[in-house]
Amino acid sequence: MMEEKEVKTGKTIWIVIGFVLAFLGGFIGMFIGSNYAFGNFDRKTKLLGYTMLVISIVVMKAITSN
Amino acid sequence: MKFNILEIIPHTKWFWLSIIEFGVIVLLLNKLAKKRRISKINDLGFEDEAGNSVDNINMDSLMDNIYKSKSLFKELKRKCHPDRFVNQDCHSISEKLFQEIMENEKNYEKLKNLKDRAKSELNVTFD
Amino acid sequence: MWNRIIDIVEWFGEINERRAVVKDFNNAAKKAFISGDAPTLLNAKTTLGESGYHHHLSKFLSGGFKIKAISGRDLSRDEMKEIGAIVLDNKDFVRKLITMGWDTLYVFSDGGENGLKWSLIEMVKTVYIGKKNEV
Repeated sequence: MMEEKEVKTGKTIWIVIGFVLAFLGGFIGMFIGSNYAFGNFDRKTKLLGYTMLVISIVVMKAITSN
Repeated sequence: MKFNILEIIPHTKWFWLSIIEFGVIVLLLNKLAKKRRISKINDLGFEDEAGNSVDNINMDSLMDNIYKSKSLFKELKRKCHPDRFVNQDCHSISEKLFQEIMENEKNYEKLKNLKDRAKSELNVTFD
Repeated sequence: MWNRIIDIVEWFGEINERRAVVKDFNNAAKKAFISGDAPTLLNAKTTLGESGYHHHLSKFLSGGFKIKAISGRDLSRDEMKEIGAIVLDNKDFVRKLITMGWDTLYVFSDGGENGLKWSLIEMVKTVYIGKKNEV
């Protein structure tokens, strides 16, 4: 019997909050995104985390350049 | 604003002919694909221990294995242990049965059969 | 070009088969929950698989077979491990999952956060090694 590995999946409410905050720009969206992207989460949650991170960086860049 | 339907579907006769031809081609391709799919699945067919081909997995028995096998296994392990039949005629039978019980810890169907065998061969009573 | 068209038609057929496997699992779990055999209702669905567990039959973006408890009570770690062990013990089911493109088995509890994962292809390696030893 092969070994199992522990894994977590992101809660829907926090993913939604993360995306909302990522679109608003700011560090909280980036923080939530990086937590999901680099934490011990399943691949689906990690991809969502990377997306959150990219969106928050892009929005922050757009806000600061303006 | 008026619109002429003939302008939307020009050359009506040929348009419907081409639709029919397209439909026939799709039907033929579907038949061909079905043939290839069936041959592929048959090539991948696998067999159980008795050599019978297994196409449909019995999900109900999987659920029984998940929820019922543990309690039945514990009960069988306790009541059919060879130490309970020491210095008896059926000691060798209990050893074989116990070995089979240990091998089929998570298989509810086989444990049920072993339970019936325990009742008949070892005269064990269950709750 | 014709081969590609046939592959596309086959691809639709495989999607239906995968959907049927998940549906059968969920129906059986529902029956077990309604009859009282199961303390928790299990629900299976397809999700993303782990990139490290891919094999050459893995489906892109849908290699994960996720089993989640959705009502009743939470599953403890031991219970999740047991469910995974029993599913993996059913070799026919695992082989069917692998040939249909799944590569990762997840079992999650009700809150949805904590869970366990297994690589299905490792199971095949174990089976192969077992058969080699028998010979």
